[in-house]
Amino acid sequence: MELLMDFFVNTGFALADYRNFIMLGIGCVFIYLGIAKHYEPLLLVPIGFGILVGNIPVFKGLGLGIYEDNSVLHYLYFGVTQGIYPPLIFLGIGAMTDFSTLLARPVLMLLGAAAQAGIFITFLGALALGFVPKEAASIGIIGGADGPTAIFLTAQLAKDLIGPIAVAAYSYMALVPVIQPPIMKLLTTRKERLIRMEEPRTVSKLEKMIFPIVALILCCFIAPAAIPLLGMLCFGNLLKEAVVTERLAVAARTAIIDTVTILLGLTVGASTQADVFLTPKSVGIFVLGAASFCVATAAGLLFAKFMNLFLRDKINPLLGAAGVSAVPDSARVVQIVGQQEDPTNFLLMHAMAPNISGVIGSAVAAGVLWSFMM
Amino acid sequence: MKGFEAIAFYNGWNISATGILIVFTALCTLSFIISQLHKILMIIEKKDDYIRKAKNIVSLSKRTGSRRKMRASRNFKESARQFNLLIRSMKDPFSLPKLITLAKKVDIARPYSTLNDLLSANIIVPDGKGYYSWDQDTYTNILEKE
Repeated sequence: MELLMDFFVNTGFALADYRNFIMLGIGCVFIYLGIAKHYEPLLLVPIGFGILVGNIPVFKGLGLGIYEDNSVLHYLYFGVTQGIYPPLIFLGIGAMTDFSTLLARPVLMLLGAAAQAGIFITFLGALALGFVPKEAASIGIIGGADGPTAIFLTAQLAKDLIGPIAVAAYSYMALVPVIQPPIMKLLTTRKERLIRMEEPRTVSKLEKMIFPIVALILCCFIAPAAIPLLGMLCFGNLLKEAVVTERLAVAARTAIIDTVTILLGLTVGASTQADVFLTPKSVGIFVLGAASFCVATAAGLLFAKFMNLFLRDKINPLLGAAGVSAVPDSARVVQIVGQQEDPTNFLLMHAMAPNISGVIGSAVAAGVLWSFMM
Repeated sequence: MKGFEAIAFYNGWNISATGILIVFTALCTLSFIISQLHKILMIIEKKDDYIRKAKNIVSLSKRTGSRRKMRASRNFKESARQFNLLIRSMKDPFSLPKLITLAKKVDIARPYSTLNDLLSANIIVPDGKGYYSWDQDTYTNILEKE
């Protein structure tokens, strides 16, 4: 009987408290949103399952928890804390991305730059709420709407906040179709939403091959701390465009990115152990993260309207909302909102330009913040 | 510490302003370079055409320059008129050695130099078979109209 009692004391039922159940509930919601609602399923399902894994109460000292030095999860989490996974994900993103629309209309790149204002405004907000600068910078980067970038910067500046920041970033990325449309409609008139974009010019293969090299050299000369992310993004894209390295490009955009996404999602989810995650700081992070997304979207939209004051061929200001990275979700939202006004207006292709420049912009912003905080 | 006090204490305003500025500078510069990229590539692709055009312009300007020189020389005009009279007395097309011999006989000043100028100005033009002929139109345009 005593043996049975000892066993019971070590089970999850005896060790659990209400916070574990809250987190298990959140994990289930993530899995539900991913599978049933198709909100970023490739991210939310691994993260949701990771939340379940990380929040099953275990006896401390057995080497099972992600924060215990000798656990398997801890070794897998090493790739997150040391910033290894995000650059590998960027490699895959680079190998998947077609920069044609960006090259065809480079002026749209400015929308991606404008949306990054959300990062720096949220940084100020986080400072005002009492976060120290390194934490504030990690929270601000949520506004970049780029999960790998947010994890990368947080791993460098505020390792303790990786869990909440990663979950906040990916949650809001998944909720882009819910968060962005009201802001887009609020800040644009119907007439503006009806604007049609010109057909982009054809981009040569040589241009596409030169672009990653030029982008890497230029951006990393300006912000050298962006090398790990932008370097891999541009390298992946060069593999894709060079054609002769198609095998490597295929590996980067399939096996590598898929493996890393699984490991990243699962370990980030598992890092949200109730005792670490359910803190007042996490609440602050979620509030600021939401604000960051809204500000970034608004900044992109308003800058598009500002640009229209000077442009002869007006751009549809909805494209500004795609300046937040969240590739390709925010571009899809632009398409959907645009088609609600005019079903024959196709904005998706055009929205990819600010969307991709948002990825570059958020990587540069992360590099800038990292260098400022060192 | 919270609020504006915390922002000011941690130098938040400067960090944010500089950060936005750097991101904008990077993307604006990249945007500008990309917008020029296809033009640069087009120039490189069509470099042979441009070189050919440039050569044509240079040779044209040389001709124009030599014409200007000729215009500047009164002696050349006189010598050219003399050459014109000489050539009228010859069969068309004519050979250059014969023309030179005749020019020397009638004491035309600097016959080789004048002949070279006439060739450069396309007043005397080769027929492709080793003989030459006198282009009256060009001669008239360059010398008679002045």
